[in-house]
Amino acid sequence: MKEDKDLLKELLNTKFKDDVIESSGENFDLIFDAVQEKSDDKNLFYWYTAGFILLMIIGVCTIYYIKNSKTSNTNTEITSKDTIFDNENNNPTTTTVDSISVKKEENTPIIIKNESVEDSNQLQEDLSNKQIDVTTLEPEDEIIEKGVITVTYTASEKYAFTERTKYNTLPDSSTIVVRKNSKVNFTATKQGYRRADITGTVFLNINKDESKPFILFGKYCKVQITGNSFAIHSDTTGDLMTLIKGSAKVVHNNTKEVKILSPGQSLHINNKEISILEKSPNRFAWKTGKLFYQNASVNEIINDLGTSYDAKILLKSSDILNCKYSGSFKNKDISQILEKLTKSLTLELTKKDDLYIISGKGCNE
Amino acid sequence: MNKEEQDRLVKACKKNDRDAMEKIYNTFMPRMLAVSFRYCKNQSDAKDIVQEAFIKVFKNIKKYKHNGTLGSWIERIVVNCAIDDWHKRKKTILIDNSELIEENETQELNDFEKNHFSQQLSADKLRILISELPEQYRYVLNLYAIEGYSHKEIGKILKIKESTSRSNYTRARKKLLENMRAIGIEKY
Repeated sequence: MKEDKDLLKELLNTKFKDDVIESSGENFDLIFDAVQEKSDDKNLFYWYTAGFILLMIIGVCTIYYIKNSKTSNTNTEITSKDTIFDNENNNPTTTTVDSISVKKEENTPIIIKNESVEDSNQLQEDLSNKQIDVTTLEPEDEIIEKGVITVTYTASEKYAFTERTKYNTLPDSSTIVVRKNSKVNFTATKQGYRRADITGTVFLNINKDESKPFILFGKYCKVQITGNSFAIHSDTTGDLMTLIKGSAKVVHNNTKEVKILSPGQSLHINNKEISILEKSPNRFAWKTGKLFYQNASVNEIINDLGTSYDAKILLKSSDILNCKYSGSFKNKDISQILEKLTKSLTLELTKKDDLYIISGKGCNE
Repeated sequence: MNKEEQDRLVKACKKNDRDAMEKIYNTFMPRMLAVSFRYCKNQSDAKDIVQEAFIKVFKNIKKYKHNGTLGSWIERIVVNCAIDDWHKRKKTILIDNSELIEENETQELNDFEKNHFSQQLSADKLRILISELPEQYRYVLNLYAIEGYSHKEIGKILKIKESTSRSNYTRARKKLLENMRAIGIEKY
């Protein structure tokens, strides 16, 4: 079909240009109701949107408030410490009152921010001015704050042979030896002192730094040591320590009893008291080179030798364990000790590689 | 209804004024029914489309930017609703081969015939003739000849090929012409 001139199209356009169909009985109500439904939906949508925005605002405000209140708390803590430091020399009993008053001041967040900067600067100054001493260490001074790195040194049974003894250098250049099944947590605290939490047997050689006291935390006591050689053993039964060189101040955690140690002196601390030991505990023989026995069984001696010298000893007869020995060894090596021991107990000592074999008639209980 | 009056009513409609809406509805309803009827087989279907269209008009009255007349804007919505309706029903396309064979035998409309039909054939009758066309022919004829869309646009609107739209229009035109002539003969 040709489309040179679409007359039909023209006809249709003319016919339908203003074409209308009159219709009666149309119900506009239906249309209006449908439109209103939409409007209601729209209104609901607006309400939902408004509700959502309101919730968001509340959420944001809550987060903001919580964050600020956290900042306030931190500020309070810092300022409280400030107050404590200031009052220590004057009147400590007013501390509580002061800190409360400080807390009250902290209710305006904007001011807090400025104050907190000043406070922390002030704190730093006070910390550097304040001389930390184990006898005046406050509970809050013992808190290890978040963000402070603690270095842990552990030694298991397997890796603590005397032959493999490792001298660990702490971040402050002090050296430590961590013995079998022992652990040290070293922290350079924000309060300005060096802290070592001890479990098991540890020997320390402290790098002297008077501005940063070195405090050991045992089970029942705290020891402040300066520039010296020190041996400590701490477990649930108590703390044992021997000062080899330098000075040390011991404070009992519960009784607050203070003891000043002089070189060569040893202490035993249990949950009740501090008692002075006449001799250095044999446990520290590795460091002190001293072993003292008073009617001690061979069993006990062999245990000590194993602990301190990692000696491998074989007993041909179990009766030998019952033999008692009294005497002391000073700066002897393992073979000398065993020779002296076997000689006095009339036993025989032989050595095969690194194994010491003790034979002979034992003792009946 | 002059332009000022229309603008005033549109403004009132935007404020959800029922009277204004009703006035617009009553004013444009007969025209829109006529537009809608060209796409439908019966008046009832046409009314449904118009009703749907007016709901859309009032729901979206805020989008009316006063470009062109309100009547043409509503008319466009009616046509769109008719197209939506077509898509909803997804009609299958029927191709009658016999029509194709006869294609060349149909004589083109001449000026004399055109004038004759213009005078003798009422819009109502013509509308009925269009409504008797297969649905897709009817849509293509309306969209091309009356609404002025190109075959390419119709292809996109109805989701058919452009060539299909073209051939549909040719066939619709031929069939309508035949039917018009059949009535015309009766009239003589």
